[in-house]
Amino acid sequence: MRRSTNFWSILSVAITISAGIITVLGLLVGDQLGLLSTLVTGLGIRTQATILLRIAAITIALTLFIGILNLLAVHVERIVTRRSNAFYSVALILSFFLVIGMYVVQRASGFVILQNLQISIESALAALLLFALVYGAATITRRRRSLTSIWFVGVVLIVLIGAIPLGEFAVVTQVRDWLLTVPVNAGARGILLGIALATLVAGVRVLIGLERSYRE
Amino acid sequence: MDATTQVLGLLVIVLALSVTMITTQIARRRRALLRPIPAYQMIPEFVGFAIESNRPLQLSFGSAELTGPSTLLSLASAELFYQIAQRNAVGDVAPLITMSNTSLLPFGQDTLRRAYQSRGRIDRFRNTNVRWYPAGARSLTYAAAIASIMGDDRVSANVFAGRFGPELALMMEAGLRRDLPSIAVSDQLEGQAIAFVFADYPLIGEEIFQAGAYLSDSASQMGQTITIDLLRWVLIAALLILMGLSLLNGV
Repeated sequence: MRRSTNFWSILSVAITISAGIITVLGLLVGDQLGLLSTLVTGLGIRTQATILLRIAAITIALTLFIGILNLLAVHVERIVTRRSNAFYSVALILSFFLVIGMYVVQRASGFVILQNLQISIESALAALLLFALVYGAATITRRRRSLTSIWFVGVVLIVLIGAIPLGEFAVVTQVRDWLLTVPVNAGARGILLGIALATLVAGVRVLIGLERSYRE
Repeated sequence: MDATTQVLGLLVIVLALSVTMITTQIARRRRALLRPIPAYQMIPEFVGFAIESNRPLQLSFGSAELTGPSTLLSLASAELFYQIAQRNAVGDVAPLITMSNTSLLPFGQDTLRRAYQSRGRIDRFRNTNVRWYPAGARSLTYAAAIASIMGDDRVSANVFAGRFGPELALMMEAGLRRDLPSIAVSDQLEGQAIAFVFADYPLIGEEIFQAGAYLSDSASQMGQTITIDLLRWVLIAALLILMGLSLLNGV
């Protein structure tokens, strides 16, 4: 059993490393890098990379069916085990089959529920976002009393007041513009650079077979 | 892509590759001292509370995926979820892993399965503990679904690690109303800002990529953390040098 597990681990690592290197070289190396370009072209690495990407796209498309089955399985289980609020699961399954039925009978009618019900509810949720954000800003000083949280709330107030198009707030608007252009921009770039570096290192770990997710 | 970009791209990959291999070897011989990150320090407490109260933890990938810019973020989030699920496997109730992109569904199921298998409790593993909820416009449908399962499944705590936008506020506000502790991080700036405000223990930016180093004894994960730090200093030095050169040219 152990030998079999090791064999599959080695195989999956080998496949991952090969696919990773082929895709990186296929996407990154162009026609102007001399010997490396000749090698990539000669070995047909670009074609192989394209094939690998197509296989990935097809596999990902298939996962949509897995998702639908998962959604149905979760809600059927809720109904069968008579969990709290199982009524909503019944409504979901009925809506699911109703939309498919309507789509089969008359294509255009399949979108009626989507446009009249779902989009309206999502718009209402989008409006609620504002209240959730204000609530968050209001509670931060109560939950985490620190210099950072006071600073945070102060900046939020400056940005909100600065957005009001009134002459009396011209100074606040200038402070707001400076905040958004200099410290916010710098901080955002810092966070994004950090994420980019970590992503690069994580990608390299996949390329050399150190990533755990396909080794076990 | 011009030749300079291609050469630079290859050089950066080779540099990262070399540093990763060297630091992994160093980390195998000597354990590095890591600065404390409160979110990772709190994970045993989150898990302990979930086991004692017999309630599941909710672990969310958000709209991260396996086919785009957030692929490696998904791997990093999965590592964090693996570590949490592995600790949680001694309890009766398995954590719930949720996502709004179907490409992560088999991956999430495999993450949970591996965690339970590593503890010899594969009998406790259920596929339906990994759930896909459709995203909808701006992931609001997903946010509504997560807000509702907090009550329906009596969630004990939330860990949001993945790709989130402003919709994170709806989910976290629902958690706040139920007094559920939370850890949150996003690779999107809007989501990161909300995570910082709402979460009890926020992670910032690349800290999500360091879960393995903080929560396991893996030398390769430790090597990754050291590599990120080293490359960060290289980047800072490069920025300072470029700034100095541009100032000199300006003078």
